[in-house]
Amino acid sequence: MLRRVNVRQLTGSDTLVGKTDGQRDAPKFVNLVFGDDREESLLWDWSGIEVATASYFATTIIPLMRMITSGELAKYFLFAGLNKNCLDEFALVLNAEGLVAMLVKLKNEKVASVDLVGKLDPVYANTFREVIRHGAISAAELFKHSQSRGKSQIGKTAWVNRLTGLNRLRLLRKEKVGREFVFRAPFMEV
Amino acid sequence: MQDVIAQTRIHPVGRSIITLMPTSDRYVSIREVEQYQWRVATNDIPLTVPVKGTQLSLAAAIELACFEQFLLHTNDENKLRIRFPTCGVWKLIRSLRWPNGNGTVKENSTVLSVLPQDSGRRSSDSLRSLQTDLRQHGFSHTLAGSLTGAAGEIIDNVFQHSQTELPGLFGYQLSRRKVTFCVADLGVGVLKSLRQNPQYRHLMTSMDALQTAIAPGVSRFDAGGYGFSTLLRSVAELWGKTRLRSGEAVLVFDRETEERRKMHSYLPPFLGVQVSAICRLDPPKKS
Repeated sequence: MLRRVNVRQLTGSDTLVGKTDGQRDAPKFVNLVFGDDREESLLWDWSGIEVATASYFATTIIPLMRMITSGELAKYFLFAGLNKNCLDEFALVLNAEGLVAMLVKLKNEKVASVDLVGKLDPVYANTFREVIRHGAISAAELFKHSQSRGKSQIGKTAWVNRLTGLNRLRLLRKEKVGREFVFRAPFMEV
Repeated sequence: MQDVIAQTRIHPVGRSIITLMPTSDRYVSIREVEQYQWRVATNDIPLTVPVKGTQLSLAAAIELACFEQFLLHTNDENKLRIRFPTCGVWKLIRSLRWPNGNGTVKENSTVLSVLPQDSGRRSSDSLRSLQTDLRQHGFSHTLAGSLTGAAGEIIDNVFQHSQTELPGLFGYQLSRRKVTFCVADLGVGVLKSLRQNPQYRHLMTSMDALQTAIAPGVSRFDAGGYGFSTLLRSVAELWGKTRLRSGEAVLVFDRETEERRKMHSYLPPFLGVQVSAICRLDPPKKS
C-alpha cells in the first residue's frame, strides 16, 4: 500500500525553515506516521514547498527515518516533488547523518523512476538498481544473473547480505515466496 | 593601522571615555574608537564602496551596534553611545531602538527587523519579503529560495542557540544583482553554546568553536547543527563574502575572486554571534 502525503497541506506552509518550524511541525509528521500500524509505503510529496532547510528536515523527517531503519516502524519512505534547493538541503542532512532516501518521479500517479540520495555504499546502490531493473528478485536469481553476465566473483551469500542490508535500510521490501525471500522496491506493487 | 587594531585590547571606563591599550600604551578618546570601529568594520568587510564621509555598510553598522552593546554590557555607567548622525543605516538601527525596541523598518533597499526571542514565527514575514525582493533584483527563483533559506537558518540560530532574552537583529540590503544580509545576537556565542554538548567540551577557544560549528551536524543539541552549512552551501556559487564572528574569532569565506579563500582573524571579544553575507551575481569590477 502506498500512501501519498502532501507536505504543503500537512504543514500549511510553503516555507519551512530551521529547527523552530521543525519543532512546530514534527508532531504532525509523527501523528501521520503513527496513525496507522500497518506496514506501508509513505510517499512524501514536497511539491509546492518553496523552501525547506536542512534543520527542518533534521527535526521532522530524520527522526522518523531513524525509527524505520532501526525497525521501530514498519514503514517505507519515498520522497517526491523536492525542488533543487530542498533536495540539496535534504542531501546535506542525509549525508551528515549517514542515511539514504528514495527519491521518485511520478507519472500519471505512478512511480516512473527512482533515485537514491544520501550516503550509501556503491555496492549497495548497484544492488538496489539491479532489483529495480528486475522488479522483484531473490538472491539466488541475482546470483544467476551476475554469473551469466560474467560477474561470478559475487557469491550468493554476498547477494543475500546486500539485499538484507537494503531491506534493513528500508529501501527494499522483503517477502517470503516458497523457500526463498524475494526483494522488491516498496512502490512496485502500485 | 590594521595591525594596531588587531592587537588592541579594550577596557571601557568612565562615562564616555574608552581606554584603549594598543601596543604604544596610548589613550584614545571615544571619537577615535568610533573611527576605529568604523575602520575595523569596513576594512575587514568592504561590503560597499564607502560613500563620502560617514556612510556605513549594513554589516559594518550592525557590527558597530553589537560593539556598542558589548561596551554597554561591560560599562557600569551605561552612558556610552556611538554616534553616526549622517549614516542612513545607523539611523535605521537607532530608530529600532535595538535591543530594547521592536518591529521592522524599511528605507529604500534596506530592511531591518528586530527578532524577539518569543516569536520565531514573526521572522517568516521578513523572510517572505526577502524572497520577493530578491526576485525583483535579478535573483532567480532557485537562488532566491536558497538565500532565503540560508537567512532563515541563521535567524533560527538566534532563537535556538543564543540563550538570551535579548532579541536578535536581522537586516538585508538589496541593489541590482546584489544582496547583503546580516544576523546578529547578543547571546552566549558559539563556544559557550557548543561546550554544553559533552562531545564538544574539549573546545577551548571561539576560533576552535567556530571552525567546528561550520561542519554539518555540529550543535549543542544531539540533533541539528545545519545553520552554517546551509548558509555556506547557499552562497557557494555566488560572488561575495561571508563573515562569521563569535567571541574573539572571525571567519571569512572570500569568494570575490576565482580563488575561494577561507581566512581567520581575531578581534576584541564580542557578545553573541554576528553573521553577514554579501552575495553578488556578477564578479566585482576590477579597479
